[in-house]
Amino acid sequence: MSRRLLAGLVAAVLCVPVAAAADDSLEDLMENAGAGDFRGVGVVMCTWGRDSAAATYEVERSRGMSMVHGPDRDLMLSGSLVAVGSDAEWYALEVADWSSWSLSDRYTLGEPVATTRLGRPATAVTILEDGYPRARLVIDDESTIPLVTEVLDGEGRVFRLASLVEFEVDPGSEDHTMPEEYRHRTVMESTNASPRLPSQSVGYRLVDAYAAPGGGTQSYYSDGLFSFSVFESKRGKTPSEFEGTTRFGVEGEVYRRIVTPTNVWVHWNTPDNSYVLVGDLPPDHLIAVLQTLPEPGDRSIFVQLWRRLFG
Amino acid sequence: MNHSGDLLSATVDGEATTDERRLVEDHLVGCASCREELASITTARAAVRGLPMVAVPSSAIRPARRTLVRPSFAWAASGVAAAALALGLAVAPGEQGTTLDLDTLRDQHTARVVVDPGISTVRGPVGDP
Repeated sequence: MSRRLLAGLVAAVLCVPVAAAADDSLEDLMENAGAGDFRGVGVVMCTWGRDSAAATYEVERSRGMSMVHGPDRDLMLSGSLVAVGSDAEWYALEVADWSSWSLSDRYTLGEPVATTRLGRPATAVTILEDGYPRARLVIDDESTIPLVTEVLDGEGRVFRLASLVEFEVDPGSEDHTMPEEYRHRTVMESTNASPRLPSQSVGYRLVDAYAAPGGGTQSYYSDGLFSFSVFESKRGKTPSEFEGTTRFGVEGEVYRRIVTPTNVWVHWNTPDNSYVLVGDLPPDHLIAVLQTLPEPGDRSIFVQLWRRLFG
Repeated sequence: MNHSGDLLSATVDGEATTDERRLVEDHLVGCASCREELASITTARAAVRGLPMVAVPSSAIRPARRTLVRPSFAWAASGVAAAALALGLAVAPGEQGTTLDLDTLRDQHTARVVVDPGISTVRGPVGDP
């Protein structure tokens, strides 16, 4: 898509009056955000209660392929194929099938405001959730790429900020290709959803379910703007990454949490299963979602002994 | 007064105090169900007392004696059982299920996320565990 066409498209999307701003405009905005070639360097940070995390990254998108160079690994994204690794070695995951994306009707687009960012003409927009601000974006007029993304918690405070500090449209860099060889390649096949997990969770829809390691399942939920996966497996040891992390309570139940710049991770056990939730959903959404999922619980001392001795 | 309950049995057995017995008697005047209960208790006691005495064979007494345990030994046995339980919990291997590998979960989640449109320029996780 040419720059001129994109510019016209974003102008058409962003210059609608408030009253007419509906799902269609926001859907277009989100789909256009994933198009266009650019290169940038950004910073992403997250503050969640007493936890905070930040990282820098470098991102480049060219001819439908994205490269993200993070602090500890690189990602190459092309369609439904994700390659993870570095120049030395890569492994890949590919989603075999997935349900179509749809945006919850609780989100609408606020009134666009002309601004500048990184010395470029840009447009600031607010995404509203049931009429209240949930995210603020600054979008480059020429490329429709979001230069700044602020996500707000339930009290209107920014809890996650992603901002490009260097930005170049259509840099004309050499063509990147996906790695030719992978250490291993995993194809994610759809599977039956767990009967213990809901099909709807406070505005989030169970979109797809996939087989997960150890005979477990991955249940992928999305409301079109945010998403999370719930990994369910037979009860096992708590992953070491969660040891000593923040414990937090929801309606008297206790969970463990890890906050990273782009995601929140939550772990808990029920008497028979272990769960890990990972996603970019806001804190107030997380609290509401957890109340719809299986509650944490422990085994009685005799069941613990029996399971330890006899499995 | 509430229904007499245990006081009725105590009265029939002669174990109630004078005040308790008087209380029961006053209550019985106005309570048909307690009078009925008193009658059934009295009948049952009479039936039991009317049973013939039978000599218990000595072979039946020995096992019964063996079950008699001195309190100190009972405490000791309970302690041993508790220690065994604690030892079992401590020594036996812990959770038997698979430990979730967060790297794999992160990659699976990312692979699904990037298929959908998104507002962030960072479509992959950055700085995840």
